[in-house]
Amino acid sequence: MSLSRRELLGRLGLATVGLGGLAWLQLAGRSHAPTAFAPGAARRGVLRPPGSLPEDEFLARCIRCQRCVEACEPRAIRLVGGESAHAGTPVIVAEERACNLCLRCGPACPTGAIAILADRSDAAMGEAIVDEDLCVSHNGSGVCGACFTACPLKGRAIVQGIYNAPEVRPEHCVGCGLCEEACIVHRDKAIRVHSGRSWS
Amino acid sequence: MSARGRLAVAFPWLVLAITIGVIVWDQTRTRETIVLDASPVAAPDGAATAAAAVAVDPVCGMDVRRSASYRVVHEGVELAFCSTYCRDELVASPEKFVGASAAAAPVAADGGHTMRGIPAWLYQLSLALIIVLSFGTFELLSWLGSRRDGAAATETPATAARVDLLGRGVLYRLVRSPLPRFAAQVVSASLFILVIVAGLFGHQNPAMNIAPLLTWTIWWAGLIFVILYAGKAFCTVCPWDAIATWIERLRPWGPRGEGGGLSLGLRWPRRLRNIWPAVILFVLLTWVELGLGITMIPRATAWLALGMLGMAVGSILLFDRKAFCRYGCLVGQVSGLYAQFSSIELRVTDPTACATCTTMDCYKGNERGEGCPTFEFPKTMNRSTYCTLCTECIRTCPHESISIRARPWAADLVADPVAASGPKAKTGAVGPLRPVRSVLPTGRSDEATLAVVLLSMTSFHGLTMTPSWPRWNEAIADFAGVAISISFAAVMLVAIIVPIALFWALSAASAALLGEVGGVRGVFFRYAAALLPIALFYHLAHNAEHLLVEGPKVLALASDPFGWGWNLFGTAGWSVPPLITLEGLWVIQVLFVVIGHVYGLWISERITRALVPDDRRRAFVGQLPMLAAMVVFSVVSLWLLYQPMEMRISAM
Repeated sequence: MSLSRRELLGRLGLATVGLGGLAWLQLAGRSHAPTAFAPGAARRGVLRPPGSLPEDEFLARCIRCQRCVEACEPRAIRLVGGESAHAGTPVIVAEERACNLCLRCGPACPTGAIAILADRSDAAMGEAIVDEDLCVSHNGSGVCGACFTACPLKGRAIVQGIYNAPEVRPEHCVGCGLCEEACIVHRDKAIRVHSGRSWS
Repeated sequence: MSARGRLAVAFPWLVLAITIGVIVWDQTRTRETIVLDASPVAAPDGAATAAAAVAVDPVCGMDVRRSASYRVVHEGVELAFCSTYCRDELVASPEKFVGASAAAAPVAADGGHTMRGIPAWLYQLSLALIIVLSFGTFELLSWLGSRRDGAAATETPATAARVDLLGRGVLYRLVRSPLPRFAAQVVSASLFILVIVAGLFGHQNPAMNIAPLLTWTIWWAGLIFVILYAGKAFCTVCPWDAIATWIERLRPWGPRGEGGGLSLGLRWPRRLRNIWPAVILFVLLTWVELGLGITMIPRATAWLALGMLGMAVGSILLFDRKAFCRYGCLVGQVSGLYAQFSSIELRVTDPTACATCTTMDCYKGNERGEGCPTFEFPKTMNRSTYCTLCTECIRTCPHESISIRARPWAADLVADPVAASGPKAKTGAVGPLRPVRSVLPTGRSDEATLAVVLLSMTSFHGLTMTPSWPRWNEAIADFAGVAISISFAAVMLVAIIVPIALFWALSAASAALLGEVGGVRGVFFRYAAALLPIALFYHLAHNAEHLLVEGPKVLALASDPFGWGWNLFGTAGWSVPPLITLEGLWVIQVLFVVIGHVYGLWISERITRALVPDDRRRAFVGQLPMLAAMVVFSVVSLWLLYQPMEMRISAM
């Protein structure tokens, strides 16, 4: 088979466009979180969208339809990858993109796996816990206050001490994770949301 | 079920009976023959055809059925007319149309078949009726209803009445079996292939080829009637989907086997998970249909059908389930929007079975069938918009809890107005089955836009069929110094933008008057539902003309579908008259427009009551701009029916 230079370039171009298009579709349609999470993720528990039922019932009800993903305003909800029982269920990776408590996922859920919440203070997603060794305001290496600034319930869920050192009030914290996203400590976040939902 | 409920379910079929009654009455009643001049003059050729069953109206040039026409005996020849208007015109000055100077008659000169629009008195009467009904009538009824309903408040509302059509007997078993649907798909795929073969290889004169008539007059016009009564039943037998699925599965029915299908199973792109792709395709189709005139080009019709097949096959090979049916298909989305009005629905019949169901086979699929191809979850599905009635969920449901039911018209659009503004569930208080969320809770921009675009494009279609349209179009093209097709596209764009802008402006006025209802967007997206019946019934009135007047020609074409001189059924030589006279058609058209308007008013009143439940005065005043919008759209519909129409048949 002999091809002229022009034909060869044309075909190569077509193939590139085709493959590029497929790759784009793959990316445009996917909303998967990495299967491997940051260190300690299993210990802290999986962070589900606000209003999610207790884990057993959540897993039974969720049909993996992705409507919560489509409804999510900050695009924080992603899907668990891999092949486990959790695969395809919604998860929030707060350090990358936290929930802003828009509460659109509840009405979007067709099965009631995510309940409709009346108020964002009802979003019992988890609880933020400060690691005072890592936090710059606590360990004396600086004055920060980023988590307080980001907190949608500031003054109630997070209060500040000297050098803006954060203190979480568990009875008010809903576990949205905006503090974790905002935390300026990079190697590991100094404030993390613990959900208590097991990964098994 | 209450008596009112039974009446509500029966009403659509009553309208169908009335429509058929009008056709039968129109075709059978005897009309008196006027004798102008019985003495035969030298007109032997005319006398020879006097006995034929089909005659040509000498005034407008239409084919008419002699037995059901208005007749005048002139110079010993019996002439037949489509309506009293043509007859009276001839009686007034017969020499203009028959005899030596007949060739000079306007119709004979250009060979066109201009159909008269509704007469002026009917036009004015229906205008008056619409305006009287529009302002206050429904508020009054609702007010009277609220006074009387004190005792009957616990009664199920008539809109909730349902009649199970499948039962649990033979019919149900038939629907559970994949074979009947497969048989219907084979029939529709065969007709599709007939259109392709006829379009590509048949005679390219549209009057001698079955492809344009079957596609545009029978299918595209008839589709709207099917939706009115059977919802998205076309999707159930859709040849594009059938062929694409056969290619992807490599098996005639049933879910994907062990090895899976050929599909890559990608998710539809997130940004396109709405019906904007379908809205754009619908506008493009209208442009090629009217702007490029492919309704008159058999080959182009076939290529368009093949293009749709390409999109369907490509999508099913790339994407998960039937994403194209849900997001991309213009036929599916036009059907889907109208299907909210339809008189049948597929729904869960036993919510308690769903409440305890843990397998959710209807969404996930099992060995009997696949999970919902259009990503619907039957348990909470409360609108027919995305349900293609494929009946897979009826097959997969282990509790036999899904069925097809008859219901009142517009059930999806008026359901449960209280819940629309109802309180949200409290934290943790999750019952076994959540109360079904109301229809159009906030409305969707894509669906609302399609509703207005449907209205504007159908009216635009009517406008392009008026005799003065070609002159206007040429004048605009001349004025702007561009090609006809470009000026056409520009006018079409204006025809889309003006109704949207008008409705937006009136929504702004309503939003200001109604108060806390989510601003202009909240009003626009919600009240678009009230425009749907107006669009639907004008669409029906317009299509009735195509179906009843042009449709019967298919009998002749069926014998010679490719224009190759065949005569398969011996009907090739038939000259088939319309199924109805113009006067009968006018009755049906005006009836439809009024029904559509009344449904629009009713839906608007329900939406308003849900938005402003406690303040009747504010509700009434705030609704006025929306009522004005509906009156404008209905008056435009009537005005278009009042205009004469150039039928496609004119070139046939």
